[in-house]
Amino acid sequence: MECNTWNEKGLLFLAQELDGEESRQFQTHLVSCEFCKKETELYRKEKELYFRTEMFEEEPSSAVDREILRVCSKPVRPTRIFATIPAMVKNTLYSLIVLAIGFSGGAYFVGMKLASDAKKNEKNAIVVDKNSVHPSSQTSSMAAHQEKADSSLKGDSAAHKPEVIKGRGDMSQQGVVPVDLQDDK
Amino acid sequence: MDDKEQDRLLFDAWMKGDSQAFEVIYKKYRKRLMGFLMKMTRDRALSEDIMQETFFAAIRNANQFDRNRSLLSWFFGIAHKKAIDHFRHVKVEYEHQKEAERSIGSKIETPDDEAVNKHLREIVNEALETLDPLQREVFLLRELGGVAFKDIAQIMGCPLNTALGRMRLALRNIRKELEKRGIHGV
Repeated sequence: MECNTWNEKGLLFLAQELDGEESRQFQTHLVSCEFCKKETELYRKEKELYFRTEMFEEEPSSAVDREILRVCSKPVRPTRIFATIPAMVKNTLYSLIVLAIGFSGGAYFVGMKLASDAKKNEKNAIVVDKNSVHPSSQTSSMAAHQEKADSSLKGDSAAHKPEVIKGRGDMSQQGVVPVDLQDDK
Repeated sequence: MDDKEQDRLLFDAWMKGDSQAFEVIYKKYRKRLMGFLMKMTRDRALSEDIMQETFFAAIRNANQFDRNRSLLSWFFGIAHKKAIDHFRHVKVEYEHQKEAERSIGSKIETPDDEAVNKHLREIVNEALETLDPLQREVFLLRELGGVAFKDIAQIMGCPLNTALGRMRLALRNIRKELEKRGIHGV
């Protein structure tokens, strides 16, 4: 009948892989267990008779010997520090770098867009400030526009006439003058 | 000085550029590694290719050598990985293509055959051929490479008890095969 101690420790004992205490315990067990004693004896004899390394060795060809000796006999170059980083860490690092480049690129373009929008708003604000129209005249011009729209709805032929845009749009008529035109004055 | 310590000194000398040190290491283990690869692949040319790759990989990754392990165990670990990688790539096609060459490859004789009992060697190797590949790998890593069971478990990516179980089965099956071939008990 098989012995569990052999299954767990027998081969490790023969391979001298048990620590001191475990090895002593197994030796004590060997005295009383016939199965383990028999297996141990059998394996030792088999190893001596049949499992000798020369039983399984093979001779490589001289061409292989020459090639291996030629390549491996050269002095080993010191390994670069970067090469010692395990592949997983390396790959993670590469991914992070690519992500960082992507994000910073995106952030750069978004920043550019925001800055140009802010500049535009700032310019418009200055122009409106300089040419601020009196609230009452603004109201009257709005009323005029409303009137024009109403007449077009009623089918007034005069109102259908396309408005001729002079200069840079009709905003100048309402007192809003582009900065460059204002500078010309 | 034990074998492991001597190997470590030779390895250090090799790393410092002593080509003679590598030659000593290589001559010491070349036949064992070749034998292991021949049993794994059953093909001489392929075994020689993997043998070269093994040593080239060893020199490239010399900084990864764990000094608590034996040098031979490290070489066997690399050789095993290379052989497994190869079979993963070629898979079934390889088996079909090389089927005819197998019987020839496994019977190639070397000059050393005269030095050992030729008949016995043939019988033991035939018995080994009948083993399940995983059992054969554990058996060869242990008996030919002297690789510790915990390292075998690591190399094969299995728990220690699985490696021990495979070895027990390998021994049992080899015994059966030897008995079938007229070698009864010892």
